[in-house]
Amino acid sequence: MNFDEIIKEKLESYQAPANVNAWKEFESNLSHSEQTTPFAVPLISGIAATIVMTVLFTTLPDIKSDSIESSRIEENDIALVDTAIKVGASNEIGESPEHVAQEAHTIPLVILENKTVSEIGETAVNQATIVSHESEIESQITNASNEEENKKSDAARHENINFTASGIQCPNSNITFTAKLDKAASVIWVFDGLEVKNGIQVKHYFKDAGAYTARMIVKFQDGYEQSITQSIEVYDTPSASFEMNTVSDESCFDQIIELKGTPNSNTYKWVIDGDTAGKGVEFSKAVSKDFHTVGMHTINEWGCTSYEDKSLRVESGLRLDIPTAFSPTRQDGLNDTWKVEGLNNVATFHIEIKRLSTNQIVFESNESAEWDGSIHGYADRIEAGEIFTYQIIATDNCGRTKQFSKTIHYL
Amino acid sequence: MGIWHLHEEAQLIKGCINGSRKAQEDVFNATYRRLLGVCARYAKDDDDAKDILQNGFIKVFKSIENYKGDGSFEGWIKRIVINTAIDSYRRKKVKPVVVDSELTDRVGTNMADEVEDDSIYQKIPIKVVLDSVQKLSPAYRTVFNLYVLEGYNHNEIAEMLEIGVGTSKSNLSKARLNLRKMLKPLVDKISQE
Repeated sequence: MNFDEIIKEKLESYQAPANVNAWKEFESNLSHSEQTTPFAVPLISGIAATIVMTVLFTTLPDIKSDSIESSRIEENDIALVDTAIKVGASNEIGESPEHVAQEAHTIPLVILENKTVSEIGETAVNQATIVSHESEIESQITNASNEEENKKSDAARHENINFTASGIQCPNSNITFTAKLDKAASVIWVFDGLEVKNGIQVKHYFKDAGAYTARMIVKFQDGYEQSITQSIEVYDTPSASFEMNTVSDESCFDQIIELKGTPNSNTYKWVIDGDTAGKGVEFSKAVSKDFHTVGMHTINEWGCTSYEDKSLRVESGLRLDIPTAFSPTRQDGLNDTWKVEGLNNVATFHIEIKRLSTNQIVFESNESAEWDGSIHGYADRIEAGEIFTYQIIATDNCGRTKQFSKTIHYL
Repeated sequence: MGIWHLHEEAQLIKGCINGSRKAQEDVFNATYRRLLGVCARYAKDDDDAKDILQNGFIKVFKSIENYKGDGSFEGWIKRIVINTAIDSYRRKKVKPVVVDSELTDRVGTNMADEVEDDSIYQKIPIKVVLDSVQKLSPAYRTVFNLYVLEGYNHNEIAEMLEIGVGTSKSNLSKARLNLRKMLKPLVDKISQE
């Protein structure tokens, strides 16, 4: 059985301790739940609807038209642009679920539209309709668009507005949108015609690759509105797959793992047991006898990353066979000496054996891998039943030093 | 066979649909220990597990009419409880974990007595394994449970938890590594004995 299967078997067989009061405790909560449910549902729905309406009312006025009462936007809502940027005003809603280690860059945008409020009119209504299906809100927006007088007067005006985007153009990567304005204003963003956020600087991510629109709607302190729409490209993540081979070497403890990514123009970063190990489409590294996780980050030209990993158990190429017991006094031809097999394959070694009870060194050698049980030649001082500890420090032919220690039972 | 005979199960379901407290109590008591065990591996501690189980059972009794009999009744209850655990994780989730700082101190690689194979983990008490799973971060724990215990693949997990497939794979690997790391002292001790 492997690790997963063992853990699964254990956890599946687990049962919590019995609790004679469990039902009573649950029943009281169940009763409470049943009593509150008939009222709680409409109540919660009502609260939720109120919250949604409130949010939309505080968000959407700018979309509608300046012919809606200008008092709807409070003085405090209108921040000075420079100040807002300086303090990093941002909308954290929609934090990206993927945090990749690419370097953010300024993203090229293409202006699709730059409209004044009178031009916004109908399209703003359409956008808002997509954002919310609340008929009441639609009704107010529609009413607002009927204010022809204000539209006409604003049509002649054109402010210098723009925005920049920075980040990584990859699915699920946060992109920071920053308004560039000459005057204080409140700003609403509509991403791909669906998601609305507000603030001078907001973060947004797109789940999939493709071409999207980012629309910034600006409302100045005097109520004048203007919007600009730009396109933004989000690129595909690269495919991540790799091959892995282990090269066995009987003269070395560690084994070489050879890794090879799917060849293309991507950048590859190899991660072994959570640590960055190296880069390149092909990579090799010596790893110890153990369970390892080998992962590969693939990064394409747009900075989009994919990750794939595999589990690997590495067996030692150079194996030492170290006895845990011997019986020299029996002289029966079986285990008469304590002998370590495999030390003839290492470059250098040092063996030290101590008596467990006194910590006295009884055997020490850089050349012999065999102990006959005597203490520096005095075999009669050892008694059956004694326990010793050994420590072997061995350096293999690849320069890797390993230490082994355990007990030896004198039978 | 499930924990009830078919006739008994049918009576219990019928009773629950009719709002019988006795039937609900019988279903609750028959499945309580096993399901609390399931919740425990999705939870950070016993209280968290009890909360999940309680919410799960409330859903079970409210939606019992939806049970169509296509699968065992106990399995259906377990599925609802697990979905409740996933919902609980989603609600608490601030942002998914991809990069793991916990792993900076990894399992050592130059140990004198090395673990020969995974069979030694069979000697570890169940409660120790459970405690270790509970100590995993919620993101790792949930992915580990869904993949190893429930048998979902990474695509399904990614969809359920609203994370990337790569994140799911990464979280699973880190969960395994962290579990091994937490269990290592005991594994070493057992191997010495």
